[in-house]
Amino acid sequence: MKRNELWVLLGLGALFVLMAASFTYTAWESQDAVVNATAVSDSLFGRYVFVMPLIALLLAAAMVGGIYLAKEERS
Amino acid sequence: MIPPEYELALSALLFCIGLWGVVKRRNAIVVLMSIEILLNAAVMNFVAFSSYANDPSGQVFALLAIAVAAAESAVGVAIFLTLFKARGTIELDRIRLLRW
Repeated sequence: MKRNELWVLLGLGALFVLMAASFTYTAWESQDAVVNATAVSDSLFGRYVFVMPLIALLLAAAMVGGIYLAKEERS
Repeated sequence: MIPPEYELALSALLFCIGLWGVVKRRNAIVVLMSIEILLNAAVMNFVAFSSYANDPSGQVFALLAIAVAAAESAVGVAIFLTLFKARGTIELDRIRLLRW
């Protein structure tokens, strides 16, 4: 292993330890309520109804862009 | 219910693995996969806090983030395909199209 890779690995390890320690030592309040699928669907098709057309537009644009970029040039 | 610190620690681990892949690897496909791992870490944070706060908004935006990740990988793979046709490699060290 090269020296710069070792530094990167050490930095990432320190970052993980810092994040994990901050999550572990936070006093999380215990909550029993769980979000169910009905609540998600009510939110998806109610308050955040713009998300579905946005996803459709995004995927359509990505499909058109991907096909345009990857198409074969006719000689 | 899983305690939120476990989910967040797993998310942090995923983030570090993805960051390692982005920094260390030179193959463009592997770097794209590592970016997907980074996005998955963010999605896991969305879901963890959504579950913790008992608010479904986080899961709705997790769905949006998954769609963004799918679009990004589709365009990325198309770009790499074009690059491979033009240059014969997708090693990121050898592609200097954007270097001034």
